[in-house]
Amino acid sequence: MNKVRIVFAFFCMLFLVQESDAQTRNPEAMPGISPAYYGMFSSSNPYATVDMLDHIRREKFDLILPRVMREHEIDMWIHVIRPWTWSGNEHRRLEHLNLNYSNIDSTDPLRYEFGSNAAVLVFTDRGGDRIERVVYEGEVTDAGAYDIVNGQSPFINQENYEIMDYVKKNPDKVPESEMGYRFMGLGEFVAERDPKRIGVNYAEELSLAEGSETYTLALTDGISYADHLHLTKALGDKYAKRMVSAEHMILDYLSRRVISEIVLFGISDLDRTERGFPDIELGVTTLGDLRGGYVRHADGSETDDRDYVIQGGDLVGMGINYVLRKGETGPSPEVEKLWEETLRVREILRENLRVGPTAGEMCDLLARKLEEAGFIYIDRDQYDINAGDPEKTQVHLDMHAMGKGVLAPRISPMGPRWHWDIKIPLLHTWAVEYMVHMPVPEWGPGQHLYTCIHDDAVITERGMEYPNPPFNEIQLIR
Amino acid sequence: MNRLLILLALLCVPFLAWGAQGQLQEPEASRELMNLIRIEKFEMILPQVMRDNEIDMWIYVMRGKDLLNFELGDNPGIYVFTDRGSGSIERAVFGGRIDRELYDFHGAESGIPQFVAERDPKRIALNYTERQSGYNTISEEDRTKLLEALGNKYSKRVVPGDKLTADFLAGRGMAEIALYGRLLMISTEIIEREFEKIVPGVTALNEISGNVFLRDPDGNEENNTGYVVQRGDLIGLLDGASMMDFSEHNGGIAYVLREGETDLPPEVKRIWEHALVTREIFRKNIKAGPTGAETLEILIDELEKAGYVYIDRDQYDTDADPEKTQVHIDFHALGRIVSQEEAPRISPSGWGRDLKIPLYHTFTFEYMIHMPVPEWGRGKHLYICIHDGVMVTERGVEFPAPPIQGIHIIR
Repeated sequence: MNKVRIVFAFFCMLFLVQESDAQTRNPEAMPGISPAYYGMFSSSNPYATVDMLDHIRREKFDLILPRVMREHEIDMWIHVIRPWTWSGNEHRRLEHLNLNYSNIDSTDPLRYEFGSNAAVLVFTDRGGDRIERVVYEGEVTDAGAYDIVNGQSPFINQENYEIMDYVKKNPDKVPESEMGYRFMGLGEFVAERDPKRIGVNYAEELSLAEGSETYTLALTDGISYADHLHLTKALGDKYAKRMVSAEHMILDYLSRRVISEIVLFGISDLDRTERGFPDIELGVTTLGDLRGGYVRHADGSETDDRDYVIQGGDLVGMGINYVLRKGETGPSPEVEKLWEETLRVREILRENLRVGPTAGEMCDLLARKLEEAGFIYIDRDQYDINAGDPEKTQVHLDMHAMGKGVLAPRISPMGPRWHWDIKIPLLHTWAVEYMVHMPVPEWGPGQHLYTCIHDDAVITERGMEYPNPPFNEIQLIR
Repeated sequence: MNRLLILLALLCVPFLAWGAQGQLQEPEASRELMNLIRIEKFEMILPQVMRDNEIDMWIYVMRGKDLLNFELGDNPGIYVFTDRGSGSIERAVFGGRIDRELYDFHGAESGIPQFVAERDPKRIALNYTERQSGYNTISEEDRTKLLEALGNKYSKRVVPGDKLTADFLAGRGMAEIALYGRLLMISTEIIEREFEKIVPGVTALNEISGNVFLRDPDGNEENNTGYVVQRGDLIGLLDGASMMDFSEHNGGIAYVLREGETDLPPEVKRIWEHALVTREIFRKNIKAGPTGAETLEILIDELEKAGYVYIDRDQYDTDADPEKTQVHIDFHALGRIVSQEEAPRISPSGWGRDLKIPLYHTFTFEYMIHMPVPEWGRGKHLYICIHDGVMVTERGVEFPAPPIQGIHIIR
């Protein structure tokens, strides 16, 4: 019996060593981040390694940053991430895993882009191909991405002797508030670079935090009023007057993709393409047994109750997942017609989506093209019994950004106005999300079939492309 | 004792599973992904390359195993692609069987003359070449029969399809690019793992997987031989990852510390700096549009302006300025296996040099640096080979996955 225990203990030890080694060799960079925020960086994506995410950060600094700063005529971008927006809960939960998690759990939407949850960052266009990148105060996970990293102010912790010594020696240089220590010397630093326009992370025109589905990130409105006051003071009158909102530039920076992001976006969702359902028992199997989802009935009512018992003829979840009725061996004629309508809509999207127009312009164009093709465009995801011709299929669009938040541009009637006003950029990653409501007149007035398609896509100069397989057939649930 | 064996067996099972999950896996070629890549090629690439080459109709006769089985299909038959002026290209197959997901029309081979006449193409590409090329795939018999069937009017309009084929294969859809990046990441991991295996004084080059090589200060090379790795060696390793008809290979460099060394010696640091400086030169000066040969001329100029000597072969040139570092370039295509050679190529060799570099071209930054070390004596030099997967976008050259980050140190 002793031998058994010894062997068991040995293997347990080996397990622990192996597990820790696996995490060190192939660490995920952002565990705990929900797909709604950063789908491509999901902890379930083994390719979202620290190396890959650091690489993306550097590519964005090299390729995107100079462009967006120049397009917005910003010579210097000062981005302040407040340390107290970071709870540290996620950090403590994951501390033992030896992962690169320290830049998560902050509400700043650029916490990943900059690899920090608390910092004063300064980016300066000093001419040439690249932008000077400085961590004026604070810590970052990827110091190699920056030209200067000053580190955390020794005075950020108010309980050490250094600050006591400093106050004694420099009574006339003590900031009015301890928060000001983070900006000490910044005025001289900025004056040396003499920027004409200084972008700062506050919002003037844009509303709402993020997309309609998360609301949790500060987006372009990250700096606090108090920090803004300290920054103003540190810059002095001359440079404080040159501060402008960086909101539009921040959005452009967030929404533009480098090719390594496309790679990560494309391979993140590959597992999703391995679709299929287990066999079911009609009248017994529930939505919960099918890993959730929803069923929309012919009258447009919807259930997502996990206890709902699946019925023959149901369409389950996104795509067309048809539950065969007793005796059926394939989809019913009306479901086949629904699939044809779905593909027709896809073709219209494919033929018309392109780089350049704003999301709003594109939404209007698609609505017009859909109508020309005999569909009725509806601005909400509900069958409209008063929409006109009861024979016509109705289509709703909500093509929001994907991969890094439900960000703009958003080709949809939903979301804040500024989501529609942004031009569709090259290599935009987004969801081809559209809903098809096809009337079935023989079932009665207003009765219809419904499907929602939600595929990943990228906009290139050639148009809309799929980085991974879209829904391509009717899935049968037997 | 039986219980002990059972316990041992049970405990081993999760270990095997861990072994399978502890590293990035080479992806499986799912039917959905393969079909997506094919369809995107037809929809996105084919119209562009037919127009670029001024081809109205492309006839491809396939009689079995063929270079284009992946793109066109496995079934023998005559594949006919016609530009009828709309956004996409009409896709037809004559003879054999048809994959209805991919093709619009299927007919008997005897129907080809009428089909062609109805479409009245001005230039018809056929799968033959007038030069030495793997794209010369139609048999003489098939070619003769087809030209007879087309009749005098249309047979005169037939031109070689090699360039069209090369352009078609070189075009990349986004799904192919995502796959490319994934394979790059896997190969980088494989290379790091192989370097971890090396024990100085014990491990021979041929015990390491991949293409392993090192050169002595006179340029003599050991390549996958029984040479046992010694301290002070600077080792190059190329290894790859693949999925079905797609492959990619990356490069790594390792230095074996000498006794007493704790870091790279100055000359090794210096050659690495050259690798980074030249990488920037390449990155800034390559774009879609020019041919490989034109691009090479630009790169040579820029290298020489930056104080390097360009060499057209991968050998140290003892007649060149002994103070200057020499650089050789062979930026060949990566991705689809059949088109890694006969594809746009920024290199002093290969006919692909005359092809234009397309947007989203996937290729390697393969360049070799020969850095003289005068203190070692005349002609003595250090050598490294960089081999990173890159691609051309509207912004220039981008790295779909992290490139080599530095020289791996073996202690």
